[in-house]
Amino acid sequence: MTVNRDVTVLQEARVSYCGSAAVLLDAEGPLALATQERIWRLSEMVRELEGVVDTQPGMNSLLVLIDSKTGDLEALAARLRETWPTVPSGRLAGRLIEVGVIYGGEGGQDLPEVAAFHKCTPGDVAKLHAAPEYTIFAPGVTVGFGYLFGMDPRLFTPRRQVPVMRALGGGVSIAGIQSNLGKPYVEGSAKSAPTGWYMIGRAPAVPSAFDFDKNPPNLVSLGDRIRFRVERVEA
Amino acid sequence: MIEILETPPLNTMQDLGRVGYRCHGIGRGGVMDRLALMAGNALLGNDEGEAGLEFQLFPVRLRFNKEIAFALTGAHCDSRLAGRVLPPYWATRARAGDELALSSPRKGMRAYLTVAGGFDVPEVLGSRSTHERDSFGGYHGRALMPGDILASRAHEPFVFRDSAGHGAAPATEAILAARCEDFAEGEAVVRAIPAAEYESFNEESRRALWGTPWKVTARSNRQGYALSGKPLRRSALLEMRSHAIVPGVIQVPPSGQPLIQLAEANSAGGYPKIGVVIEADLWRLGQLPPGSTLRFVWCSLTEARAAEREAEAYLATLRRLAGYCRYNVK
Amino acid sequence: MFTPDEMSLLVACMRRNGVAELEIEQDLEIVRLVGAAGVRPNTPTSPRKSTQTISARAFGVLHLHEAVGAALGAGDIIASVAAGPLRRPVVSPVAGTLIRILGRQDQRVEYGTPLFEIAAP
Repeated sequence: MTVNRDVTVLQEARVSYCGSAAVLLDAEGPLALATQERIWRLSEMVRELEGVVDTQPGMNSLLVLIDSKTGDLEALAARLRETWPTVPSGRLAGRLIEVGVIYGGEGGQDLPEVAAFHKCTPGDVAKLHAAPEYTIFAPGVTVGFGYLFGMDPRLFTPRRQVPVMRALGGGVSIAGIQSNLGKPYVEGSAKSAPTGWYMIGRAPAVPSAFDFDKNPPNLVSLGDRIRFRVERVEA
Repeated sequence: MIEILETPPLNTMQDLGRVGYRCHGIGRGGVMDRLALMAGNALLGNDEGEAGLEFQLFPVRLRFNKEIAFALTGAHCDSRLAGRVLPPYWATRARAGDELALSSPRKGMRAYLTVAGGFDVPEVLGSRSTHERDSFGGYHGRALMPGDILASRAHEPFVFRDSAGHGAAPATEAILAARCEDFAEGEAVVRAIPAAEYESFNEESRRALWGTPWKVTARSNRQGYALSGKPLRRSALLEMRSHAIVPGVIQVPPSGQPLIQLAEANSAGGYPKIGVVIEADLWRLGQLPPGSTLRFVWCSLTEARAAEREAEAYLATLRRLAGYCRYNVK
Repeated sequence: MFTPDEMSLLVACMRRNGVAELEIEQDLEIVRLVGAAGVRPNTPTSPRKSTQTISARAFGVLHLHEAVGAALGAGDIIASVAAGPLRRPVVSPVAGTLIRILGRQDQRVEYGTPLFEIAAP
């Protein structure tokens, strides 16, 4: 794995304003599950505070949004700074979901490129990708399975500088240290979208992550885990 | 009952968006010009966040199949009701059969149609905004098409004190934009607060952010505005991870050309953020067409809040005065 | 800032106390009440046949919408009078041509201020 020596991580947590109605906390240290467990706990605590209208974990970060009329931004920032060091880690009882993946082929057209980048075979990439248990760290940019953590660092592949168009629907992709599982394709919606990620496979039986008619509407929550199963590797 | 007779794509029903669903990956969404929507609702006595139709592309023609009071705010289009010209930011009563025709605005970009009582479509996750990418909300989760019929909800019937209706001073006139020391005529000025990665940009880039003009490129839409200008570079490279972002965030991707995330922004991003355009100025971006030139002005939290209060005062006064000019009918 | 009833009460109060002119400013709004003697009479300036003078029906700041020479339809909104951010219409009661603008953009007008002359076709 290439290590970029110019890139650093925070030595201590940073609390900053994101506009005048949101506070962002970026945790210290390298990306870690224990840190994210603390982020989830902090998120739950902060949601109870007066004036807070929403919270959103990122990858070892937390955005807290306030009502600009009733919330006190500076007090919230101070509260986050004080509280963060005291928040404990420790596992949430999450569910485990298994998802079968056809690596390569039509839905994983970037698999050969990723294999070439890592100087191994597509089969090796599939094995490495499916080996660990992935934890749902944070919500993604759409209703779905969110940002997954747990990929083998040997598969670190820098995001594309120039996005490419890729089909939407049950795609398994990687970028940087992250992996992503796309939700099922919805008839009538856009068939593809630009992305800087690499499509390495397709989950033909991916469950629906979100159903408006259900209560709660989401299938998975932060802290739940996903295990990928290699169905086969296509050329 | 409103029937869409003619519309290009990309015109959707929007309100002030959805708050509280970021855990599901759903950002706020909603109108690009929040002030225009709220002003229209104020003129009609609707709840301030009642959904309207956002028109980004023109020409648009629609027919009122039933009598209803409506407001047309936002960009000043050449708008005609039953052939009669409407002033900008105006509310009036349409009679059954009246057609409303809108042409491209001479200034600004987006126009908003609100109706007394609001539109009769179900709320999804607390909002009537259309989430086009995931096809939910608004009018059947999609952009408007010719032939669409939209009903309105019941409300306390009223007549306008003046039969020709009433209007508002447009936001562009009522609320002055920030000034920028050396800005040129025709440049739009928006205020921004430095973001987490601001300090990691080199001094030349930070000066360029505040001191140079930015062109709004053609790759600009409800999701965000792509700008072109002097490339912005970081001097310290902190590892960037996917993190939550809000509308107004100015991202700087590897190209160095800034991207302002707007109404339909993704709720998370992985690029460094140099600043955040203040909420009170987002509507100005919503009214800025591609090809325009933009300047950023540094802004403190205090100034950002004062700007929000100024907008609130405009809307509150408008709502109160408009209330005196509507008479409830028994 | 005042309802029509409050306005009538204020005017009655002014008359009783011999106040000729009263100006009240609050936030963005200014209301100016001028006693009967102060109201300018609605005199047409050129006694031409089939011209009509349109006067203001509200207090406030005048916003012109149309230019001299504009062809008007009956019921067209030719200007507005603003009290704070609210604008009330000045409507042409007849079809015709706008031949004179008697007011100025941003002029403070009151009930009865002559604004436009319209020539019937």
